[in-house]
Amino acid sequence: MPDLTVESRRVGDVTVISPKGFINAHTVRQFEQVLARALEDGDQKILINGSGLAYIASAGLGVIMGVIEEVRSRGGDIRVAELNETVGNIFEVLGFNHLCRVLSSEREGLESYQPISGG
Amino acid sequence: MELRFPSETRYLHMVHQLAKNLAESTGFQSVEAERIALAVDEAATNVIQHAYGGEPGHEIEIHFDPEGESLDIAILHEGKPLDSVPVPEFDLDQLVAEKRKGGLGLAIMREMMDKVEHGQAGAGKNVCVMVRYKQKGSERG
Repeated sequence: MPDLTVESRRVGDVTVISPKGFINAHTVRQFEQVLARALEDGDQKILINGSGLAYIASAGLGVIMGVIEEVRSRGGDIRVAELNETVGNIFEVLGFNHLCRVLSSEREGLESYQPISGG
Repeated sequence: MELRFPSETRYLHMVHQLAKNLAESTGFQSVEAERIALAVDEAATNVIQHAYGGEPGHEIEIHFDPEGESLDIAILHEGKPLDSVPVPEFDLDQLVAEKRKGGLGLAIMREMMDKVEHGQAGAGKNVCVMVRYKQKGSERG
């Protein structure tokens, strides 16, 4: 089983990035490349689905930290969903839950990007 | 208990899993053990990337001492001392504003453990000592 696989797919106008495995200093390049490709393609609404993520070390958090302002400056955002207890805990401890929105499910994450329809 | 491994990031997961298993066998719950493992992962990453400058072929030692009131972990290396450069207080907003990708490792170590200290261990070795108390609040520093 590989240390990390990172899938990227479009759901409507949202790019869902799903890392499976762990992100540390050894595997971070794969995660960084997929995120960089999304930015190069002009994707604005990015949702990281963490359901397959066993743990994330500072290297992976640094990638999110390093690009989130750029995405926002283009009118987009990076949000995360379905974090396990370990990853959710590290997000809270470091304040990443204030830096980016954390949703409980991918569906909620996708809905969070849709404009609220009236009536 | 001692572990020796080369200064290459491909060994980090093995170190992470070993630290987690050892913490669990010492009596820490799974989430607490994962926090300890993450701190060890970060400390080892710092040694590989900063003390040895990413150069492979050097040795890193990790000593685990689970006896007593705490789990004491010492990471030893012969690279550049990691206490030579002052590290500013962790400020996530500042790091984001500067579009920095680094600066989180030491913050994670300090948040996950009760004590983190860098120093010299003699015989030309430098050491990072991390302590996690088994009883919450026994001596958080």
